[in-house]
Amino acid sequence: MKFNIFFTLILIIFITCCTKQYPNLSPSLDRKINKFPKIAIVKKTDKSLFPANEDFFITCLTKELRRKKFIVIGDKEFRDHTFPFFESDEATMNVEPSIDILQQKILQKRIDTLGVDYIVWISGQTDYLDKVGAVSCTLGLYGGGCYGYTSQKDQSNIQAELWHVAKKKLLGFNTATASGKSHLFAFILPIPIPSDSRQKSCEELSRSVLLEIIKN
Amino acid sequence: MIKTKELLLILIVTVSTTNCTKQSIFINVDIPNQISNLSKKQIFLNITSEFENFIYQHPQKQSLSIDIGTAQTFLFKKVVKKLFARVQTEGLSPSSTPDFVIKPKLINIELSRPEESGLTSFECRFKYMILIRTQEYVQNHIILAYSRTPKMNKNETQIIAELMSKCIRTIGSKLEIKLLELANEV
Repeated sequence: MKFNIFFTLILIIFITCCTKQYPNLSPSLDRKINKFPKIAIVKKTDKSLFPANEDFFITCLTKELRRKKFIVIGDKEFRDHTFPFFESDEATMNVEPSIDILQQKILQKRIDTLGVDYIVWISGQTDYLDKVGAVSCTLGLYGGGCYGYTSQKDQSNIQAELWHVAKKKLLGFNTATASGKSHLFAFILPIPIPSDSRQKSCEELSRSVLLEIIKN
Repeated sequence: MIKTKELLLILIVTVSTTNCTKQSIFINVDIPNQISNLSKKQIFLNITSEFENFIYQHPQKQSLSIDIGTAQTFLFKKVVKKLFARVQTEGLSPSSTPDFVIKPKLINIELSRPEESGLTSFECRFKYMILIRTQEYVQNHIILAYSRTPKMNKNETQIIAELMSKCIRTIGSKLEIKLLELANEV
């Protein structure tokens, strides 16, 4: 009986210790925002900065801002509501509209209907650097497998331009850069360990966007 | 008799192969419907049969043809009717005097595939000349649209359809901005 109680206690202590605690990175910031501001996250398509596979940054930032109690409106929904003003013009060099567009009365009405407080323009890319190591795979009559190790460094760079809709003001241009390394171990089966540079840069950017909003 | 049967079989195979290789592309005209104050001005939208029935034939790939006419006619009608309450699209009677006569003309269309351009993306270019005639003046307004879509793991038909929709949407946005100017003109 005593052993059982002791065992249960050890188990409870073990589980409690294993539960990872996520620290609230900005508890004071959360308290400062009373109402839930509405943010439109818009993808910047100019200068080919945003390749098709980099939608990760949009998804990640949306998730991060929603966690901080923001109401987030996606790119398509925002562009549809504000059509034709926020259509990217790839035929000219200046693809996306400048902040002066907020002076347009029809656009103001449409944004007011949508209730957007801030517009965040996002662009980002991941650069892959030198790759080291080698992995080789073979397949024979009696089976097959892989053997080796490779790693590749990468750097994620994400930029955000923040517009205050009511003030018709550019609040700031935030950038976040993070480096990471992806690994691939192979012993019979290949085991990939992806880099977390994109996630880190996204988290950093969401913090700086939040700080910018609090300051204004 | 056997020869006739064989010939028939060859004919059927040929016809079905030709049909299979022909790419039919559907363009989705993605123009949002917002509620806006309609202008009271009277518009005559002059759509020619050449404009309405235009089929694009790719110069390098003969099997690739796109029904641009239907998409562009739908686009122009939709955008004009979105902003103006009184729109006439059929034959103009001599007694009616519209405030604006709008006559669109597609003057250039290009579609390039990565095989032709050497790039990693599909590209489209459209150029329209829109004749705007009022009682006071006549002007030619040029609208350009360019768009690109990266070569992805989708089939070519799907990529081209998406690309064309993007280009048509750009045309729609530029047309709407021009028409908003006209609607607010005194």
